[in-house]
Amino acid sequence: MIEAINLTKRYEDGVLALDSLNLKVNPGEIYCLLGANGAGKTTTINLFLNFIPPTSGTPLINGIDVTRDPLEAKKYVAYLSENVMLYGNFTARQNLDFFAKLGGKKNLKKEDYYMVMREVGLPERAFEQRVKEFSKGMRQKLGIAICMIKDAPALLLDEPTAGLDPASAAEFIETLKELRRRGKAILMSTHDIFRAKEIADRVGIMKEGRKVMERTREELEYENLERLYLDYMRGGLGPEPEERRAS
Amino acid sequence: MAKADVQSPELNQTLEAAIGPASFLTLLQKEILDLVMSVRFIVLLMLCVLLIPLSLYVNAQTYERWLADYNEQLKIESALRGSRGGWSGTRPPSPLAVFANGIETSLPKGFSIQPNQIQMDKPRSYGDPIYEVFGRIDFLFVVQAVLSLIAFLFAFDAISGEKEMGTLRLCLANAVPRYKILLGKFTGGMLTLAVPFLIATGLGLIILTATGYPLFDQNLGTKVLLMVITSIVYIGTFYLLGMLISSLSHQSKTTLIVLMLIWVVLVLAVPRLSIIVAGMIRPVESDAVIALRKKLLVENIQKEKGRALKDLYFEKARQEGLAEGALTFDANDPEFVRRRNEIAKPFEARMRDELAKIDEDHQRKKQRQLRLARNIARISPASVFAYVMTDMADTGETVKMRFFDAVRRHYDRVDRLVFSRMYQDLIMDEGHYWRFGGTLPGEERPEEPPRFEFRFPEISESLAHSLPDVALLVIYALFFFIATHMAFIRYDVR
Ligand SMILES: Nc1ncnc2c1ncn2[C@@H]1O[C@H](COP(=O)(O)OP(=O)(O)O)[C@@H](O)[C@H]1O
Ligand SMILES: [Mg+2]
Repeated sequence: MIEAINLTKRYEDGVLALDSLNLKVNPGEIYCLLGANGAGKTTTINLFLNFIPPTSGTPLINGIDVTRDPLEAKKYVAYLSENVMLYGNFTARQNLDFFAKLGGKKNLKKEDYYMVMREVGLPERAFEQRVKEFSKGMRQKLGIAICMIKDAPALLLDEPTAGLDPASAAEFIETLKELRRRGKAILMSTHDIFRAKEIADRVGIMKEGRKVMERTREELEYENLERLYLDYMRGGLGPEPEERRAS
Repeated sequence: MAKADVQSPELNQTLEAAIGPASFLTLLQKEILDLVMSVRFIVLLMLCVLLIPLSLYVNAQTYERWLADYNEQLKIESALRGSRGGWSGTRPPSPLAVFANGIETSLPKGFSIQPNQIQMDKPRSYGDPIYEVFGRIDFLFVVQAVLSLIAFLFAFDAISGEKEMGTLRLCLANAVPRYKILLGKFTGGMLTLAVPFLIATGLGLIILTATGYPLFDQNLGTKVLLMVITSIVYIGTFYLLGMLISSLSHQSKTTLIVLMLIWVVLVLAVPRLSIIVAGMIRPVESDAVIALRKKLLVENIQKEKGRALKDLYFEKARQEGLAEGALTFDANDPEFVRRRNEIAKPFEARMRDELAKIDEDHQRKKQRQLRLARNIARISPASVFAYVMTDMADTGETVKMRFFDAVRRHYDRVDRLVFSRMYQDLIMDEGHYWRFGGTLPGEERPEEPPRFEFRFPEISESLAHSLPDVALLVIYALFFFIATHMAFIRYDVR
């Protein structure tokens, strides 16, 4: 569903932000990308949206090469970016309505919008409130709602829990589980190791543009993800051998 | 929410709709809503509704006064006909000056002529209190300066603002081609700008007709319509330029500052600087210098002529046995008149030729300087717009040239019919001088001195003259549109 083949990105200023990344997220799967600031997580997601061209390699959405046919690929993907501000003059519903229509959703009723906003835990009084009065967490929730309402089979979430209070983050995890149940392929970047461990079907740790580790849910049963993460960050462990990664 | 997966044909259908025209309408609707709910829309609405009808009303009142003044002047002239009144002329005010003052206020409202001299009147606006307080605000000014500024205010965050808000990223995560986003922004912005403008203009026109302005006479209505259409093209040009700068920067604050700078240059600086620069490249003597030079020339040739005539006059006085120091022009002596003309006419012809040469030369230089100034000014759409509007309103340079041409033609006619049948001799001798003047015998003045005639150009002529400038305005708009598109295709949305 979401697949990167030898995806590499070197920025114009020479920074190698992504080095030969391979990953695959199947329908009904949640893939969490972990990594320090500047590890290349956002770069990865931007490549899947054709916001930047890859230096080499191929990003695939639903089997479609994003660089070849970005418009076709984008039909199948919903996106939540880091710190989105949205249209401040619009109410939450108006924002949702606009992006739903842009995503190809027609004939949605007020109730449909309310339902999604309830689902992401936006307080009822905020539904018809202007977004410029929203807190960062509320905007983030509305962003999640926008992402959900497109009902696309692939989801790209860039630090979706950043700015959420613990209760809201927990709620969000429930929403993600529901989306997984519906068969979505979800790729999300996060700093939240605990939540990642809780919901990820697969976890990848990135460091300086390289995926240095990948574990499945089953494998993590027997390992301490936090310990692994810190070890990799400290640079104690090198990249894993090729066979391990290919699995 | 409906369950869906990739293979579902239902999903594919909905997604298909996303790249149809429907997404354009969605973008358009959003754009309009977003702009209408912003403070700048209120500003636009208030300024339009306040300034356009008010300026039209005040200018129409002024025009009424000018027209009454003109008619009064005509009456006085025809009463004075037969005397020197027939040698002067008055220029009718252009009714469309209500929309674009142009040269109407600064051009002499009339003139009077004497042999070898054209005396221009004061301009119409001279001493007009209402004009001095308010008259400079006309429809042209409101569009040229105020609406262009508002167009910039509408456009400055079109691209860079959406990037800052992160909404551009969210939009482009959908199956929407970039040109569609641009088109939605352009159409939405233009509609939001044009509708209040058109409403305010309509309101102004209603007030005009209600107060008796002849909007439906001649071709006024057509010209007004063309001026309104040109205004919308002009506003579009500035809106597109705003979008271009917005899609070249990544911060709306930067965009705004750059746009303010561009506005000052295009609207305030270029139109004025063009005249100064043209004056430095192609200097032309001032009208006062030319008038002095002509006066000097007339005096010199008169003196030369006097010296040549001196012997004839003294001989005549001797024949008549006049007292010492007494000379005479004897109109009853055909031989004297014949000999006087024989000597004087070549001088008079030379004077006429040389004066005409000075005038022509001066006019040619002025024209060349003006053409240069116009071409320099054309780097700003604001100047191009002003040219189109004043040409349409018959208050542009064309009408100015037409007026001066008409005055010169009128002078030539009067010269042929009246002045050439007159004599004016100046004889000097040892500190004494004698002046003689009057109508030459046998050459009676015509009963009816020629009337001054001034006609505004036909609408086809105004159109033909302003067409290149209209085309230039459209070219500017197209250029900005294409440039915006190219910048936006490459725009980094992250
Ligand atoms: N536009 C850019 N030009 C140059 N370097 C960039 C650009 N964007 C990001 N980078 C660099 O690429 C690396 C990865 O950044 P990013 O993908 O944003 O990391 P993350 O999202 O994991 O924090 C960083 O070293 C960052 O400095
Ligand atoms: Mg990031």
